[in-house]
Amino acid sequence: MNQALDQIIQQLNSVILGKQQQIKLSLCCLLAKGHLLIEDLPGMGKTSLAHALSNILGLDYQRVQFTSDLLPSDITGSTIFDPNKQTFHFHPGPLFNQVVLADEINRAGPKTQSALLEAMEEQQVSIDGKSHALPTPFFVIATQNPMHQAGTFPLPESQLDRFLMRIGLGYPDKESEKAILLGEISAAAKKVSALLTPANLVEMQSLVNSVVLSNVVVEYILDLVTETRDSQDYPMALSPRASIAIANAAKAWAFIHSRDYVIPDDVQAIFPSVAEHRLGIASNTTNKLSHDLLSKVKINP
Amino acid sequence: MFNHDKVKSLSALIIAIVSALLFDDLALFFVATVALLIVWVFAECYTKASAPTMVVANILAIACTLTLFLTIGISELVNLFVAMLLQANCLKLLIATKPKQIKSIVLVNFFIACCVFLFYQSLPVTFLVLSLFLINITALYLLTNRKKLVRQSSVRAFKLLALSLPITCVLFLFLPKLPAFWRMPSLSSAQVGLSESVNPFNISDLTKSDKLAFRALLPSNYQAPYYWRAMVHEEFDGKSWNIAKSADNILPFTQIKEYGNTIKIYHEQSSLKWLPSLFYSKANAANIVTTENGNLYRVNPNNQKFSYEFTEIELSQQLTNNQRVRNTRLPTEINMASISLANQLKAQANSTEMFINLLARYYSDNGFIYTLKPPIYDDKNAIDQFISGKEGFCGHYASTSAFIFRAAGIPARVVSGYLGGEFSENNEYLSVYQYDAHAWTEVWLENRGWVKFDATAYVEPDRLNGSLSQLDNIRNEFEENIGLGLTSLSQIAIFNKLRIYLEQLDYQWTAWVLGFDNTAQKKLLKELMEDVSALKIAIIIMSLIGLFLLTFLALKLWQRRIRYDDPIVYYLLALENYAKGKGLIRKDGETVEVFLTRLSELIPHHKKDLMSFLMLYSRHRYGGKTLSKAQVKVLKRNVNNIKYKRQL
Repeated sequence: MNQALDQIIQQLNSVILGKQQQIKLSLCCLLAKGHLLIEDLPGMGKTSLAHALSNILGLDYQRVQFTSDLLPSDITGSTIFDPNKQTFHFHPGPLFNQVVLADEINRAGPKTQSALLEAMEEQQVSIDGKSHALPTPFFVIATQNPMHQAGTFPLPESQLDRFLMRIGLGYPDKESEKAILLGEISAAAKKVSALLTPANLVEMQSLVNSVVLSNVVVEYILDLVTETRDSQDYPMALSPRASIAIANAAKAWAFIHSRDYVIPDDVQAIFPSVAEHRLGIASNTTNKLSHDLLSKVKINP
Repeated sequence: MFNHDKVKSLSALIIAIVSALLFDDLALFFVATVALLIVWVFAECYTKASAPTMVVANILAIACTLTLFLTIGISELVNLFVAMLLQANCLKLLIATKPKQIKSIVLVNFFIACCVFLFYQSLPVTFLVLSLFLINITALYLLTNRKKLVRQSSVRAFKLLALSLPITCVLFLFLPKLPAFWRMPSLSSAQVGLSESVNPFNISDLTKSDKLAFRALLPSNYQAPYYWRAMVHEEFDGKSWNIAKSADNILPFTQIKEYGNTIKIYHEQSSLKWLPSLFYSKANAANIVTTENGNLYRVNPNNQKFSYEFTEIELSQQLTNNQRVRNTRLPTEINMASISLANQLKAQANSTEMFINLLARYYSDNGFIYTLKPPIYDDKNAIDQFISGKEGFCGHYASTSAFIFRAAGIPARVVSGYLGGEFSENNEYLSVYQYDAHAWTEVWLENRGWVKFDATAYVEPDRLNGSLSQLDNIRNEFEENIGLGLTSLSQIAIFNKLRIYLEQLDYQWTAWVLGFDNTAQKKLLKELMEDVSALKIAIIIMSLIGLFLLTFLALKLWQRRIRYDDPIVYYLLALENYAKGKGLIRKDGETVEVFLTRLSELIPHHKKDLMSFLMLYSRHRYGGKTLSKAQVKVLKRNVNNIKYKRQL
């Protein structure tokens, strides 16, 4: 199982150059059954990452470009009257894909955002009183541009909380960019082929669930969370949903590193991505708050 | 190499302090050479100055040895050996580069620090030696641990020293005090206000020292004046009064006087063999004998403070022919005026008692003055000069009186010792200083034996009570003589209080620590247990030390009182402690893996053990897999390897 994971990571690395950590994190997010928010400027490879990820895992993929006039039904789909059969017939929207890339999510109006976020949480869409289950695995990768906020609808804190992780891709290093320019990427990208089936992925997700989370590590997570609640340094404290998210992400991280138990290092590795967007209001990808927190909270032996 | 400089400069500092402290005892030129060497060592450590080459070093060594022998000489062996040690260590310091060489220097420095005790044993010196130890242990720490800072090391050294103090106390109290295996050659450095030859006409004889001579515990019924007899001078050569050769003959049999007082003396270091006593007496110490004249004489003196008790004895009052001749003998053809004065008084007196009274009246009626700054009477007829000059101190009066008595045919002799003393605040003891040195006359009365005649008493009666420092009439002269010091500042209340306080402290130190000898120890042990046996003492020592160690252990455990249910955690704590000793502290928020990786960079040769430990520890603590016995053993071995196995 882990060999497959290693291969996946290797393949992804050859597509998205110099972004090993982000690739691992997004894979980890996927394994933890969470949704991913990528916050970065345009042209950083957000789409490439999403595309490669879905390809390699053998998942369906649909991209939705969010705009201010996008309506909820544009993404969920709607019931259409079939004149031939004289019946109403549900026509699924782009949400009914295993991997959905919601590009520039903050450009759409709150109503559309809510529809997406509701679907993310419930794993189903209700239209005209009828629930339509979304496919499994279901994975939303949303992106947003942290700058140029005019005319956008920034996600409220409560909705940011729905994303398991927020990561920033950042500029590639010089070597990687050189390789991109030399065209080594486009050739490699085509080579990406499915290494897993959706069934495999679901199995992996259940294995992640069975990773041992010892008392000691749980206490460490609680110490971290409690610190945000007691201290005045954090604009917002971490919710229980956040602690669950940390635990799940840590498990997935341990799984990626072929371990069947979580160590504090796993918690520390995923913590900034999981916690930063829940701690502060301001959009930032430096993860200063969570790094401070990590260096402050003592790990009991 | 970085720490070597620090260690070297600390060692140089110790040598410098000891040399400066023994400045009085070692020659000035010698101390100057040591100072130069030390400056060189410091220059080597902190500037670009280089160490001497082999040739230069050898030449330097020869030059230093020559200076050593030329300035100190071989007559004072102890000084010579101490100086040799200082100089040798200093030279070695100059050329030492390897840790092993520096280590031997540091170890020798422990010995050097102790050498101070050969010369001084007071409380401040003890503290100074302790601080020298502190510096030296710090140096040792710095030497063995390159990453250590001076502050860190000195704190550890201080802790170590503090820890050793209770054990020191136990050993001090209970370890049998063995007699010395070998005896130090005596030092002749201690300043004493007394001299075996009294020549008052040479002004330099008057002591200018404000050092303590001894302390006495007097019974309350014993009243002033206190005449502390030390020496009897029977032979007069026209200038000075000397001790007869037979004076140190031991009195064969002495009878202790019933109801006689017993007085305890805590004596400071002294090179003089004659000891003060208030009367004809016998001391309880083995190396103090009573001479024919009833004085105390110390055989085999050493350069340490000592204490003794003396008790009054009966001395048979007979004057042998020999003694009579010796005590009336005068050089001929000098001091004719004094002889005629003696004859004149003799003509008026019909008994010896009357002669004494007439002489006393002669002094008080003719305007004689007691002064510490008399003119110099350097004539052949010095006594005649004094009688016409009428100014002098005790020596003049004692010498002149004895001369006049002898001129009149009455046996007389000069006795020197101390007069008076200063009581401590609570009248607990009497302190007698070197400046309290005094001389007086003893006259032979046929039916009463030797009777004291102190002409000073008629000239300056106040001198009989208290110490010279408390005499108001001559305060200015006294202060000029003593020079600046706490004694001369004693008119100012706060300085006087300070002086008395320091004095008190020093007394306690002398009485309780330096005075704790075989006898005192036996007494203490007797009080603690009924019958004293070596086995019992051994058991007490062992159990006290054991108790101390247990307390220490308990304290250590209490310090890390955060308890963990899981015993495996303590192995990690042990590693954390070990890393702390190496200067690596686990930070907050540092995971075990990161911490151990950091540690393995510090001790790369233990990387295998560390990684094995990390694997087992993580599996146990985080993986929820309880370790098997064999695995725990492996874990334990890993920790022990890291902690104790040294790199080969």
